[in-house]
Amino acid sequence: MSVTLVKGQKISLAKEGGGALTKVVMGLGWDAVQPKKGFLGSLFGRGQTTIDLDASCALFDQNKQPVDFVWFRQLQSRDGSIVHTGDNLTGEGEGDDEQIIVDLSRVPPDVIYLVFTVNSFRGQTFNEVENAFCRLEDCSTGKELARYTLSGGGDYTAMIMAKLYRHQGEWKMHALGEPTNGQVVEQLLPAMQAGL
Amino acid sequence: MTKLLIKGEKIKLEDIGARSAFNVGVACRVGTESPDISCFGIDAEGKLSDDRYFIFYNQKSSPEKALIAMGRNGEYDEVFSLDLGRLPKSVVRLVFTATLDSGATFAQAANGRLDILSQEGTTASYAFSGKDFSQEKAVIIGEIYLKTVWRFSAVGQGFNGGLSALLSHFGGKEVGAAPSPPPAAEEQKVKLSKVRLDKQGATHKVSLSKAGGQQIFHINLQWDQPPPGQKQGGFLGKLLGGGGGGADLDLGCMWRDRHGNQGVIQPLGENFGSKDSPPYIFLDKDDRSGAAADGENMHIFRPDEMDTVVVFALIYEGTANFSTVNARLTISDGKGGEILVPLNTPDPRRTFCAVALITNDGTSIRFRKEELYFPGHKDCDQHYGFGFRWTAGRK
Repeated sequence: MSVTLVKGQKISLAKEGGGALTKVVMGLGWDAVQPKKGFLGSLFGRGQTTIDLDASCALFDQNKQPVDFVWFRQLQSRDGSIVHTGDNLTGEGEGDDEQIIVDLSRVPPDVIYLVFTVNSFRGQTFNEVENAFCRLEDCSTGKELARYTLSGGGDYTAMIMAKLYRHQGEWKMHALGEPTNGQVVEQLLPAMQAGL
Repeated sequence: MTKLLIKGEKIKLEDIGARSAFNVGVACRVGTESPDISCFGIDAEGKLSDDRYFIFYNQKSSPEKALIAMGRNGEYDEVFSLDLGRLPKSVVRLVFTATLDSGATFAQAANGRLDILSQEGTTASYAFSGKDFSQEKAVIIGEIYLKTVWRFSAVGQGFNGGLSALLSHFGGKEVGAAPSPPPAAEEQKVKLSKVRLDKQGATHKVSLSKAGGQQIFHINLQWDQPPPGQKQGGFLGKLLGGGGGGADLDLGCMWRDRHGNQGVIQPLGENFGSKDSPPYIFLDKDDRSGAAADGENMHIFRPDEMDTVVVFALIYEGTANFSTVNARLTISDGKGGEILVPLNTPDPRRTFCAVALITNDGTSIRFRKEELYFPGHKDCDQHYGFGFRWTAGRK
């Protein structure tokens, strides 16, 4: 049963009836705000530049120092436990636009936090983005475990969406929803560290 | 282990463990200044055949994200993220350059460095300094190029004339049999001289000429008449300012000079400013219809005397808001360069727009696109913190 998270909410990722999740997919999706239809819209609409959101994952150690980044330039963490399925340049189509697959059982023990972010590569703000969400799915069953939907737009170009973190031997998810600004994942580092 | 390269040295990237995706970090100091670092994506003929592969402060990425300028990072003035596998086949050479737009030259350069950074850290490093150069204002630091495999060459070659000279070097060779135009004319043609500030917060920097008074900024506001279907007629139209005539926009500015004096220049109240006495800013005339081809014009005669200028546009009458008039501001920088600031995100509720912020840091002038809409002068004033006293008026 999927949980719809609100900003700040935390959930445990332990399976019902015991056992731990091994492999999860963090899916991120978005749509560009549809330009206003009709005469006015076409006359005075914005240029045709597409909105390119990028999903990324940063790995942090217990001292909250970044260990590795998974993003469109590096589609796999160096240890191989986290894989990005590829860069979507337009956000077109239904469902997840970018996916990051995490093999929790293979994440190195010194990695304590995985932070998932979305940034608008070409600089449009979230005022021009609709239906942005992140959702966590159990790979082995295909079941959605949690979903966090961004409400409203905003005058910023990036969002710290959520983190997965180790707590007393199990993984938990924390919906962060913190707006910030940046073009690529490294520029979001201060905002990510603030959320750890 | 980092391989140290000397000027002229060439290496295969695979030999230093830099595969398709890696970073290039560039650092350089010239006095207290950081030069502008750029990357040109060049074709097999040595030309910049597609200007989307000229990566510089106004264009931070190529379309498919193969080349990205990621900005200042640690000791580097610029870090480029490259993914050679993502480049189109036509781009076979990436030229990394540093340029100065002040009076300084690369003879004064210190701690210059281009590092190739892979996941494992710095794999190759080419150091350069002022003794490699003389009076040049541009330098080709190094090149990554495809010759059966991707290679790097530590070039360290100086260029006179700055970024525009480099641009014409890569783009201006197509003249063929025709006699070469004089250098000044050539500079006018380069794409660099037209800059479009599309996004809020986008900036452009122009160095302040030492001659001071020689450099005059010309600020021009143009707009279109609303299409017939869009005119505000009838009762609503009158309420919203739809008079009998066409749309009338006013150009003006709030200014502060470097002595701390400040004021407002606008047609309202006939505050046209002055050409030859402070504030050395003058509003030429008031175009009441937008029909005159030259729109509304304002000149800054002594950019060196100014501290801060907020250029604003307001709708005086004839239309309800900026969404129907396609207003755009053009600033000529007095050196042949043009900065276009289109008002492309109109707020249908507001008739006052702070279009651009011009600031002087003593050596250069920075233009920033604002496009902030306010209910009126007072709110704009409050936003920028001038602190004027406002009363209603009509021209």
